[in-house]
Amino acid sequence: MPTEDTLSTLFRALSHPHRRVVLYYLGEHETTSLDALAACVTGWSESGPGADAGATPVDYEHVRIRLHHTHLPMLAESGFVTYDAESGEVRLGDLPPFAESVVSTAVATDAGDGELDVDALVASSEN
Amino acid sequence: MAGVDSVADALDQIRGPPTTVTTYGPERDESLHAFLGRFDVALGHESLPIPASAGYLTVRRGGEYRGSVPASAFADVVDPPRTAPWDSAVRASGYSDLGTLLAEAQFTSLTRSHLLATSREIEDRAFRVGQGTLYAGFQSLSAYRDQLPVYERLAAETDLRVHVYGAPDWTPPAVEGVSVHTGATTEDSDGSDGKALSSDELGAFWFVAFDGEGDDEMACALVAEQVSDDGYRGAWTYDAALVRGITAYLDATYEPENADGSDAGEGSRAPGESAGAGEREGTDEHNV
Repeated sequence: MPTEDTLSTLFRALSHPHRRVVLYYLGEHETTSLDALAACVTGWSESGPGADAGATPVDYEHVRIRLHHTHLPMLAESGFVTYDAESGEVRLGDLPPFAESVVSTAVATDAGDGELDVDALVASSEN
Repeated sequence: MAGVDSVADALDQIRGPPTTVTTYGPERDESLHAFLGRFDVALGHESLPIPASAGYLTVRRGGEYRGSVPASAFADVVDPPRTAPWDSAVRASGYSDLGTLLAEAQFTSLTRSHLLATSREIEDRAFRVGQGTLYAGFQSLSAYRDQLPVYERLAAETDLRVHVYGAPDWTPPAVEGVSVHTGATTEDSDGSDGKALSSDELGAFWFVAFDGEGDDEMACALVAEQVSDDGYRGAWTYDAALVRGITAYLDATYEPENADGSDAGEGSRAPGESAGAGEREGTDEHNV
């Protein structure tokens, strides 16, 4: 069973939609670049699943700067990703098993693929 | 501004930095990729654990992010709507959005229906601005016949000056505000070769250009060369300087056939017109 700290860290990491998209993307690709992530996140917010969530205009440069200065360092500090700020390389880090099921529940909800499955969420944090 | 000395030269000059198109979704949309593969772009797919309906694509050019298009528009991209330029469906279509993002990228083989949709974009801009000059090369005037109702309305409901080009395989009716150019009577100032070159060029290229009436944001042009029965290579551009080069070339090269329809445009071309009229002796048989 995960400690309260680990749970809080995970939910803090998932509390921003752009950080969630980073984890969804890395779940499929494992390694990528800051630029590729910024394009993926910007498109997600403009035209992808995030587009329905809010009509706030997104700006690629703004997304890229926030990923570089805020989101990726925070995910790296939690160990969920590794980020080489020099080269821009981003890799998937260590996601505990319960975190993986929380992330897949989150992506189903973000992508409009059904209601948030609270039972699954609670069950996953009790593993 | 670099000058344009032929329609082929204009096409050569439409060059942007390398364009990258990336699609996102559970798996590649094969028909979309087949369409995008007709452009000179670096094309990739990156899988995301989302339903196909939530997918999207992004376009980057020379490291700069240009924009995105949602999966809901992909069907429009592959099979663009066939509507009139003033129909709001033109602007609302996914083809329109992607078209803007793919400007300056050369395409190797697009069909007539795609070129028609892109032409509609340009005609729609001209219709909305309502003034300025629209240039439309139909290859042969019989192709203009199919679009005659559209061009009659463009000319009637706006202050646009319209120039239509094509080989003279059909004699169009005179429409006020529309000048028709067949290239057959052109006497190039460089010498006798100009005549043959010009009509070949009109037969080979599909082009539509709108000068934006001085508004650089509205200037745009499509230039495409026919390479097979239903295949064209070409590009479109929003580069106002290049559009000016294309329209200046067309103005300087092709005299109008029908004195009737050119009345509305005469004011703007007065200097060239009077010079050209003197050289046109012996071509009166074309002024029916």
